[in-house]
Amino acid sequence: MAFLLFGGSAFGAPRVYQKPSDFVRSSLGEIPATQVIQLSRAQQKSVRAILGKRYKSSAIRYWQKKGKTVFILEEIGKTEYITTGFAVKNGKIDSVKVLVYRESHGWEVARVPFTKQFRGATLKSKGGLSKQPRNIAGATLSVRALTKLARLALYLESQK
Amino acid sequence: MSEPSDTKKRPRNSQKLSVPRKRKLARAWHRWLGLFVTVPLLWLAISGVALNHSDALGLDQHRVTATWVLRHYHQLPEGEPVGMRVGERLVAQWDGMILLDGERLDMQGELVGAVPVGHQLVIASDERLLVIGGADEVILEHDEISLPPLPIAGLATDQDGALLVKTTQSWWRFGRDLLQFEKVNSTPKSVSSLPLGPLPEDEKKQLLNRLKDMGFMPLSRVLLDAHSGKLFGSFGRLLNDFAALGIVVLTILGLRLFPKRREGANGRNRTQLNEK
Repeated sequence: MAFLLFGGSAFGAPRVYQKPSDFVRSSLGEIPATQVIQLSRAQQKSVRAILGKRYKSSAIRYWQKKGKTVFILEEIGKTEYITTGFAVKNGKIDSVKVLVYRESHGWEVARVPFTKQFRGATLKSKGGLSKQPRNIAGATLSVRALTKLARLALYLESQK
Repeated sequence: MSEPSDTKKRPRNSQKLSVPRKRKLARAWHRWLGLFVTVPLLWLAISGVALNHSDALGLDQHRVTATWVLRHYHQLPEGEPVGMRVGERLVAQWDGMILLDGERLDMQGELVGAVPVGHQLVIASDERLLVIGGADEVILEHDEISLPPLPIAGLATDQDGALLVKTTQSWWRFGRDLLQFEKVNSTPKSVSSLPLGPLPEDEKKQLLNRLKDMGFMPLSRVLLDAHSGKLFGSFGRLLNDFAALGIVVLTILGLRLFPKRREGANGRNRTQLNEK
């Protein structure tokens, strides 16, 4: 089956830092009409190269206003999804916020000192980030997940 | 030279243990304690090394399917499932999990309904809506940002096949893109929705078997809990404590036994001489 997806953690309630709608509103001032990028085969291939697997859905939502685009993306850290908001402007990451953290370990990635490392990051020609965030001991998988999502957000921004 | 006769005559109870006797006792303790600690210690060492390299060994990808493990982690559902048949597909909710043909969907909330829209299947909980394509691929996922004001209370299609979503406030009609929606001012005249109800016993059994086969627990998690002893309850923790304290005692005994024994005449050590 193409979608063996796992829901909320059985080992503790998810940490909700901010509602996705609040992140969109705080980044863009309002919630504009939802738009989607319907991933083509070639785009799916690029996404797979970034994530190491396909994204959970083949259409990815985004919200845009005055050149700034917001993506709400999800990736598994170890066993659970981490929901993260990315605001991208002019090919650079403007802000990153972990919105819902469901793993039992590694929530340190939700702290501002970590997420602010992504600010200003761009996508290099080989698909890597121009600024590599420092690892956090004990949260390696979550750091990797967020780094992948940052790359995905920048890639999607270039594909709109 | 022979020992003084008064030493030999001293009563045994009041006699202080001689150094060779202490060594003998320490050696005996070291030997037997070492034997008992061997198995838990080997387990801790092997599982610890495996956990340190869980990525390389792919322990996160391997899933444990044993029923007792799944029950231990409350991964097998309790209570009664509810669901509906949408054509050939079975959409169900059981103990909080929303399932499509026995596959767990990444969907939170209470299952509200499922309807076919064109070639796609739309499944809604009170807080999310999934659009699933022909190849069981999640095409689109809606949550509170891209849905009418939550909670969703119902799901249907109208006479044109358009998706209708009912919230506590109103009905909402979605466009063909399943993205944009508009409020329907009056209750739609022709609505087609499917009933959500308890599943028959045979379908419940099939669903349970499917869930067992899927096995939700990653091996890394099970191994970590087995390493710490948590998997085996208080017995496991006690065994780990025993192994840990055993290592401390073995170390102390080992240090006591470490100094080289003094050699006696003709190469025999003092212990052997005293034993004679």
